[in-house]
Amino acid sequence: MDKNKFTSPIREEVLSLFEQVDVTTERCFDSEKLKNLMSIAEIFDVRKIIVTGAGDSWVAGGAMLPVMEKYCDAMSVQVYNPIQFSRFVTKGDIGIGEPNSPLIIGISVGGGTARVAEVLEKANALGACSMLITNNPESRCAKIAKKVFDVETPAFPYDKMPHPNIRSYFASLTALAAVSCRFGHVRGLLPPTAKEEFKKAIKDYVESWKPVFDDIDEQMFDLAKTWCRFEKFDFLGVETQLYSTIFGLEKFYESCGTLCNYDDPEDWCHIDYLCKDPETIGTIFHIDKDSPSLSRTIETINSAVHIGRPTLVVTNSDAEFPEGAVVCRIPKAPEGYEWVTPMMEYIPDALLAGYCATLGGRKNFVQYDPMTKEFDMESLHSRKGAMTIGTSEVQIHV
Amino acid sequence: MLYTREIETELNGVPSITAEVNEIVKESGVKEGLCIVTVPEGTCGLCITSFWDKRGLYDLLDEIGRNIPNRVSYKNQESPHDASGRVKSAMMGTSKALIIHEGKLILGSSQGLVFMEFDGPRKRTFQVEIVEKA
Repeated sequence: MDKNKFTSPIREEVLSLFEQVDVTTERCFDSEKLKNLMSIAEIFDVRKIIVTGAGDSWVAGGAMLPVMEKYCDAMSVQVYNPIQFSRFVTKGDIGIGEPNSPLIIGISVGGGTARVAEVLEKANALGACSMLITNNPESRCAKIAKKVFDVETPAFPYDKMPHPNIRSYFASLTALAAVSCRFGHVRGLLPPTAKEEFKKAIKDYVESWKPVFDDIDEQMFDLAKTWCRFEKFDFLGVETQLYSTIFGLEKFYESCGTLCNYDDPEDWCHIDYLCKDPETIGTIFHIDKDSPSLSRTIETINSAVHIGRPTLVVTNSDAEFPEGAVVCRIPKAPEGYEWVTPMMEYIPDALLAGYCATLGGRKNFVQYDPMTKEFDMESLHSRKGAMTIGTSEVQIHV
Repeated sequence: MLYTREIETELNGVPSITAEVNEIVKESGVKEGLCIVTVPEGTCGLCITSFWDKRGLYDLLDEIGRNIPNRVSYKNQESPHDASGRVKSAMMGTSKALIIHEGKLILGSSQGLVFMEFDGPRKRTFQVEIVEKA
């Protein structure tokens, strides 16, 4: 079988990253854009940073937490689920008192997510500094935020219909890296050359995927020939890898509509391990070579294989993994720039999700058929009244 | 004859470039003439001062810093180091002319050419033009 005949929007987006990286890094690290985003004085005012967003955008915040913590020089950088922040966090919890602090970064690619609008409204009501990272600077959320970071992602043929997004996620990650770099430079943690070094690290890492991409693509295509029949998937990771894991899960929901679950490799052994019919649950692990949880993850992979779980391990580690697990080896990040790993490590999951959809004859949430390229915007999941992410009532709980 | 040299600087570094410039003069073979040293960088400076006690160089940097501190309120919004560095560079100057006599630079026994980095760390260049007396 020719895998190219079973391509999908998600796979096409993955393939496009090799070209997108140049444009996105140039636009996100643009000197004038960064200088106009926040003044030096405003950057020095920020004592805490809170990043939030819904779905992919929340995951983007978690995936970039290491680079933000390392270079923003803030007392703390936290990633909040948007409803947790907007409805439950109190004024006292976030240390209001200093001007322009905390910095509340909401991420919404389309800029129409009601909960992110609520987050930004609350940030303004608290006297914090609100920033939106978006691809739509004219959107509802952009009108609320005090600062707007327009990622300017180039248009793509599938933009006209809802589909599993990769390009906008990549742009959100790049934007957060650029904000971190700007903070680090202004606050004296990073040299004047940091911007070029960050861009180079991102481009080099994306480039390092080129020589191995075909093999990974082929490996996921082969795996999907059997995994396309599964109705349940389990995703495991911890710390930074947890967010890549969740992003992979999201792509399965969006592409295949299958039931998915995520957990860390310790908790899984206590709970999810007990799920019946293990041979019908595709189980995907993400583990980094430098993770302190590598040994525990290998034990958990062994448990998964032992009970008959079909298992995929996505890793940049050279470690040996239990026989029976399919191991997808991904490129290592440039030394000192390990934070770029989450910018690409979800790719095997995304390819697998795409192939599981096309090989399994599945349609996504707008009933898009990748084989015939037909879709239905009036499908069950898209109907008004059912889809509420843009229409949800905004309430301000200070 | 134009010579270009690269150096790696540290933030607020004050490396002496006297030895390199002396080497260039020797290499040129010029016995009588002028040596012009210039730093084509916007946030660096060049000065002639004593290099015997390195603490004196840091005194110099401290005094420059007190007069032109890193502040958040510069109109240049690149970074506090960059904004103050440009002012320091302009005030300190980035070029020196020295006399070559009997194949050597005329400098006092404790004097040397000091490159002043007001931003960094980064790769920098300085250039030396040797002009032989007609």
